[in-house]
Amino acid sequence: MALLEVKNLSVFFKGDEAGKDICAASGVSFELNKGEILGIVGESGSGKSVTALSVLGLLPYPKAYHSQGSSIRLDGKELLYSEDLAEVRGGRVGFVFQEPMSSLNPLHTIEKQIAENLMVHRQMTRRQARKEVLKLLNLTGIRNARSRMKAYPYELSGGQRQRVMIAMAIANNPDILIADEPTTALDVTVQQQIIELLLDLRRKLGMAIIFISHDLQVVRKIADRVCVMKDGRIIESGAAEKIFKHPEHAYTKALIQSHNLLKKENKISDEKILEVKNLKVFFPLKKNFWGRVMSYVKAVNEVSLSVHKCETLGIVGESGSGKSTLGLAIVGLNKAEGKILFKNQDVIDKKARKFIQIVFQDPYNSLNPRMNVEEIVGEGLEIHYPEISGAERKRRILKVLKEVGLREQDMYKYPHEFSGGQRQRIAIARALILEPEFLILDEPTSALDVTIQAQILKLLQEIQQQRGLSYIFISHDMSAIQAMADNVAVMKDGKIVEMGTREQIFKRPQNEYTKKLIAAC
Amino acid sequence: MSEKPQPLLSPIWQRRIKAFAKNKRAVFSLFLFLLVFVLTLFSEFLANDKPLIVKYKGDFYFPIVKEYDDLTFGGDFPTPADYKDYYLIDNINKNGWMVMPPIPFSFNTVDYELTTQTPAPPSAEHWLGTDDEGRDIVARILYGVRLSVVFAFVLTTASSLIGIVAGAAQGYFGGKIDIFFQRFQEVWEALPQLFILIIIASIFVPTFWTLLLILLLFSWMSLTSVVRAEFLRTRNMEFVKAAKAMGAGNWRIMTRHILPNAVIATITFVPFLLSEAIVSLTALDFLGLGLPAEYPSLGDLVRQGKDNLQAPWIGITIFTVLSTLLTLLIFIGEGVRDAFDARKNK
Repeated sequence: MALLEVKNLSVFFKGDEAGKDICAASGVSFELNKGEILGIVGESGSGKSVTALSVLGLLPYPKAYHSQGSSIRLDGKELLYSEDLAEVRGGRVGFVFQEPMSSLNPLHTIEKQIAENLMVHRQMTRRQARKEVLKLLNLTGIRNARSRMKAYPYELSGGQRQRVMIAMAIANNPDILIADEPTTALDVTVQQQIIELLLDLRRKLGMAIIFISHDLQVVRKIADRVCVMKDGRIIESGAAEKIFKHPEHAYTKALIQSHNLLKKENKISDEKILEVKNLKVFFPLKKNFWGRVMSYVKAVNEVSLSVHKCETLGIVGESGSGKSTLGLAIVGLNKAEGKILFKNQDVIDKKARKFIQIVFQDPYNSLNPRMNVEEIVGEGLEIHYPEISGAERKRRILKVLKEVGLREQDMYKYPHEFSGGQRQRIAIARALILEPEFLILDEPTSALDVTIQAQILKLLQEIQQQRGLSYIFISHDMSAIQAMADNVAVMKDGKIVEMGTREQIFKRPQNEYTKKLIAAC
Repeated sequence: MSEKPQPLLSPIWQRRIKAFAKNKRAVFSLFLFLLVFVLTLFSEFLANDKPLIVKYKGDFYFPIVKEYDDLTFGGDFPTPADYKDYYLIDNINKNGWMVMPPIPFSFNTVDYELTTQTPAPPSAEHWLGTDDEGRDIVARILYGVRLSVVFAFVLTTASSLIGIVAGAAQGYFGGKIDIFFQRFQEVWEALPQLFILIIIASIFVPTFWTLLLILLLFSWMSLTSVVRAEFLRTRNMEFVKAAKAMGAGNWRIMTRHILPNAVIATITFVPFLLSEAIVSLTALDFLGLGLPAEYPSLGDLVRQGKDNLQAPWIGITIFTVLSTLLTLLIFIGEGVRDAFDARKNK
């Protein structure tokens, strides 16, 4: 008998008075054997998290409910609507959430948080718990565990926090560990470490793991078996090797395809369009009494680069490497020292802003929720060409909306009526309406689902070919960089550590850090 | 080209209005409040010591709109006509007719024909009795409510405007402007408001506008902190960065991008500011520091109620009126707050 048996699980959420109930998962069935790692893959809204939360009864009941015939059995014991889930939660089944910052209590030391779990479930005394916590922290690979026990969550890095979360989840030797997107909020190299940790823990403790992720690459590395979910259903499941090598369902194929993006060759001309010389962006960290700055964060430190017409320069780096700050400095949103030349002219001039535009990462934040699409896209025209008539403005807005694949009737809608991918299209339209020659793309696909990412990247490539644009493409995602960039710059701690053509960087990386980045993906 | 007309209200607003309409208590309160307020706007036609219309020797006269002298109606002096004078009434009735308003007293009409001691108890003549100077209470309340509500509206509008501008400047520019402004505001808040009012009231007699100005000196601060916080939060959002990258100026970003987001917090406060303003005007009048005697004021009635405990109709009436008015405003405020609460609306 399998350790965990999920049969015909359906999850519904009650709608408001008028609306119909929403079905978040339907007919989901899978089994989990002892010591097995099951990967659940799917895009946002596919029902993978809801499925995992049902196992522990963590859904907002009674707003959520299961239909007749749904069943989740742990060792043959029914869990759905069970009264004594408290023992299962954190006891036999551990749970690791996506966001390590918000799932740790900021006001307690990590020792206290882990110990709480032990004291509740195993009735340990504080002293016993202390010893156990130390053991757990060592097990999860936290260095200087003894001194780190007294640390508060804000004193730890993202990867360390996730280790603490895992330590909490495995504190009571659970049979099953459910990890809901445990690596999504982390940098690639840290992702790799967490995956190794999970594999290591399985070896040592013999746990079964349900690993939920939207990222196929990650799942591929860790899972024995994979379930692919879409619209609340499992559409394909099987051994990981089989799913990745010979996918049967069209959606699975598309999902895997979207990781192998095809690079269009750009005809790069010799004309230099942008040149950055010795750019420095320092943020004051400490000021003395008289307001003189005593120390700085050197976010961007002596960076020089140049971009030719029709070229895409990819900038990779982990969070905090200064790549976004560099992008913002080029469009003039950060004060910077050094020279930025656009077509051999200094860009301090406000008029130059017409020709350099930027697309931001988070399409939920970058569109004003109180303006409709027409106003959002048309604003640039209002600012730079106030003399254009209303009809002409409308014509140009329509043209650019068509170019990014939106429809005419979308003009009067508000951002909240669109999906993430559509919003990013609106943001691209906003940047394109002024007919810029240069676009800075600051992680334009990071907040999107994989298949949507592929669509947006394709759109960006097409626009580049048609308009002869130059891009700076900032990303932490190596596969996106590989698909987009002609040349690549690798940033670390505010400096460019390596720069070269795509082939050089990906095939023959010189720098240690670059090698690590490429190995991690 | 198929032209789809732009909806008058954005979907967000439509949803809010729907949410407000769902709250029966708030809708009822709003309806009642508007009804009372509109009614009091026509106080001159409801309670006045002048007739609504006079027909005298074939001509029509409208004494409420225009002032006529005694000579017009066959009197002897070129003084304003006194329509309570029996000689005049007789004269008009002989040569035509006149229609008095349902309450034939204005807020400052002293009824000299009272047979009882003032304050007179409720009677057919004076529905809610008179105050200690023989003036009709219903008339005083009608005019008084109007004055209070108008005062509160003007005060709230003015202090919101100042508060939003001050808060927006602090929040948007931040840094030194913010620090200095905040410290200034703390000092200003610490000023003893009541003493300053007493001093000013003793130097010159306050009028509607001077009192408004004095109260405004202190009331503008209630909104600044909210608006400041909203601007501080929003100015770092990516859509503001996007607008900056587009080349939008500070003014444009503040008015088009941030303000609409901050307006929510402001609108939520308005009904509460209104009731606050009514209370402070009443309190000042009660203490005798507010509007002088020639204004119809609710606070003056409260004072009379306190001074004449033997005439409970004054106290009971003014208590009912004030508490109803404030309760209605609070109910409306609650409804507005819930309607704007994004979490409740989901």
